[in-house]
Amino acid sequence: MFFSLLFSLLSFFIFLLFEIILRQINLRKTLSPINILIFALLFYFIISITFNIFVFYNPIERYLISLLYFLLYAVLYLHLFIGLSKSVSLRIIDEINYSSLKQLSLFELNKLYSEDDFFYKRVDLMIENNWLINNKNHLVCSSKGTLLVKLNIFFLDLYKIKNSG
Amino acid sequence: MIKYIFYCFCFSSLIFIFHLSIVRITNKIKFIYLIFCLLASIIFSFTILFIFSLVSFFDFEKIIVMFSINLFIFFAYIEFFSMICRGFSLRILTDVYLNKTVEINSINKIYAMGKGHSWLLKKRIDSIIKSKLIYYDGENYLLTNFGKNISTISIIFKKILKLGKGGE
Repeated sequence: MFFSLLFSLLSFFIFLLFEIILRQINLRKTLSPINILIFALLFYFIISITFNIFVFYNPIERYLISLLYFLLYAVLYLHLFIGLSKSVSLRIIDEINYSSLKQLSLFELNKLYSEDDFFYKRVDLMIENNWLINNKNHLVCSSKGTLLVKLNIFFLDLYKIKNSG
Repeated sequence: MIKYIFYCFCFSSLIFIFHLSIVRITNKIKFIYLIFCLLASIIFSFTILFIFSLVSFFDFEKIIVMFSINLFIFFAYIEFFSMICRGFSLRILTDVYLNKTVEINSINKIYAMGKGHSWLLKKRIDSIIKSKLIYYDGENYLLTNFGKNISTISIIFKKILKLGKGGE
């Protein structure tokens, strides 16, 4: 029992350390949660295979249980990561904290967190990831974008959500 | 153990079913409902697994595994639900789809079926005032002590992960 807990913690901290180092030296810039999750899982498999061969042999069941704990830490990290990288609310309170008087009017907030930051950087990212297609300055959904939108509309109806976004 | 893990995964999907039912019945979206669904799913899973003698009160490892799986599904579900509810990029994508084609410079105007940038900013400001992270003194928005702490932590983490200002 303790092996699984300790091994999952150890592998997660090594993953986190790698993630921070790679980001600090600009070798990793992705904001995609799926990319991060795949990287984390790959990392876990490499560590567990290395550990099993060179350090301490354990039945595969121990590593499977450890993987469940690892997945929990990974999803918590993803929550933190997505919140920090994408949250509009966090950006607003950070802008107030960055300001010299620690207070901002709606007009100043509009200027500091401009429409450019709000919309166009996201649109560029969506074009880059092939969710949207830029056709002579006109945006249209790509086929994978259309599929995602249809799924989104289905869930909005299912939850009866009228004002999303 | 593998059979047990499989059952735990199946039962933890009840979080989604419980939450969907509550949202459809009450027509309200509250964080407390999600917590309630998590607890309900854990209690339900444990009861069923206990009845079929797959877990006992002293089988700590199995109990921890059950909690981990439920928490994992819970956090993944929160992420999914918040994307549906508040996903900014997904809303832009939906608006483009609903308008068939949109000129790149007018994307800010059609956002959220024509409500636009100011509506979004106001909606987010209202929600962070409600969460007591900021307050309005009639002219400016100021941070509460709680908001100051959250923002300091956020700035530190953004620097560690090199995320820039975020929210883009």
